[in-house]
Amino acid sequence: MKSRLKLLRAEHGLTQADLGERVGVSRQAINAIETGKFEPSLGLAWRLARHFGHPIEQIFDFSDELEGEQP
Amino acid sequence: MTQSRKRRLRRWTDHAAYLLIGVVIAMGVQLAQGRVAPAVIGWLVGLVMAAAGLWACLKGPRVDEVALAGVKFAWLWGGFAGLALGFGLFQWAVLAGSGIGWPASPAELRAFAAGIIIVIGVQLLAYLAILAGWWWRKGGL
Repeated sequence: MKSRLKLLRAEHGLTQADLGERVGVSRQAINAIETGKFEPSLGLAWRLARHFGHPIEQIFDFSDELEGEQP
Repeated sequence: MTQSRKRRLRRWTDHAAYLLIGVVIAMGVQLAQGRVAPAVIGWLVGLVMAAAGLWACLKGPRVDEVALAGVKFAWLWGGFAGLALGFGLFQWAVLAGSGIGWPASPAELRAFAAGIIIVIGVQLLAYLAILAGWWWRKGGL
């Protein structure tokens, strides 16, 4: 899953460790999400979205998951 | 990078880890030289393991979902691989007569019980208890 997390974090001048501490996960977790190696739970995605003041769908790109689904 | 490493070395958990490694090495040397009774070593190992288990339980609530996913992945595939490897080693150790005789002597049975049944058996029981509790909380049992 692609995300704008790295961009938003940079815009807010936060390190991965800073952001992780604010949403209750480790620096490694933030790194894994930013690099697309881990898909966050709904709760964590919601906390990240709330932290940056954006809707979840503006931070995370679900298009891969939606591929092949009937409209 | 250097500063970060220095800060990391000052954490008490790093010192505890180094102390533990030192104790284990020292105990291994003492045991190899026959200076310490095996029972004493056994109690010390048990003490260290109990302390490590307590530390892990206290540390547990801070494991986030990524770390938990890693643990689940490792237990699932590592567990299956280890089990398969263990059966193979058991065949080698018992049937090929490389260390453990068959039928086993009382001393060998005691060693087997201490090494396998107690350590792995208790771990398996705790695993099943936690798994049952997890499903019970989810309403699945």
